[in-house]
Amino acid sequence: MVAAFIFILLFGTYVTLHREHRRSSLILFTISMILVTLLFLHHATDRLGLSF
Amino acid sequence: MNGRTRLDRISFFLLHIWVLGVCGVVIGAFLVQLLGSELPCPLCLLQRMAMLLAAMGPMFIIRRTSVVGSDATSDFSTGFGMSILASVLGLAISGRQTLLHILPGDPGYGGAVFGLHLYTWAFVVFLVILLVSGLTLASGSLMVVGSRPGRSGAWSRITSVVFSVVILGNVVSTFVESGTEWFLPDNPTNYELLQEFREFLDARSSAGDQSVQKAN
Repeated sequence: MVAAFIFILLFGTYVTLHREHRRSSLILFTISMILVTLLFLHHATDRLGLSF
Repeated sequence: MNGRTRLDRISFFLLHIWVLGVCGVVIGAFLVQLLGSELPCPLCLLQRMAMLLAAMGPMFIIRRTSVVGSDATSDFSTGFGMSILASVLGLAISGRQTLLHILPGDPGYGGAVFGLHLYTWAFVVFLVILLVSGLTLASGSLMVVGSRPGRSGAWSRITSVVFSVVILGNVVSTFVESGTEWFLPDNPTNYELLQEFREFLDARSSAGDQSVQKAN
C-alpha cells in the first residue's frame, strides 16, 4: 500500500505540472523523492533487523 | 529557420524522446510482469518510481515552456536537476539489487532480457540519464528550450497521455500486488489483493453453508 501511495503521489506531481506556479510541483517532487528514499532504506535494512 | 530556432526544436523534440523512452522501459517491465508472469519485487517497484521521477524533469520543462510559457532557462535547469537527483537515487537502488545477485552461481531475480536482468538494465538507464543530463547542462544555453506559450502540440499531448497512463498503470498494478499489506514481501509470489478477494469469497460461501446446515 505504501508503494501504491507513492505512485499516487507521482501522479499528483504530474497533475501539478499543469499549474501556473511551479512551487507545488517541486514540493510534491521533493516529498516523493524523500518517500522513495525512506522506502528503499526500509527494504535495504529489513534483513539486518534494524526495523527502519 | 535560423540556427537558434532549429536547436530549440531539436532540444524540445529530444525532451519528448526522453520521456517516451523512459515510459517505454517501464512498459517493457510491465510486459515482463504480465506476459512472463514475473511479479516485481519491492526494489523493482522502487526503480520504476525513480525512473518516473527522472522523467518528471523533462516533463516539467515541456509543460512549463509550452503551456505556461515561463522563464525557460530557470525551468530548464530545475528540470534537469530533478532528473539528476532521481537518477542518483535510481542508481543506488538498482546498484544495490545488482550487488545482491552478483555472487557466482546466483541465478538473479527474474528472467534475463537480452542477457541482462531488469535491474542491470535499470542501472544502465539511470547511468545514461545522468550522463545526458550532465552533458546537456554542460552545454550551457545551447540546448535551452525557448518559451513556447500556447504551443502544446500533438507530440506533447501524446507524451503527456502516455506518461500519465504509465503512472496510473503502476498505481493499479502495485495496489493489486500488495493488497492491504503495508509493504511487499522480498519475493512476492502472488497478487495479494486477488488472494484476499478469493479468501473473502471462500469465507462467505463456507459461512453460508454453515447457516444452511444449522437451519436444516
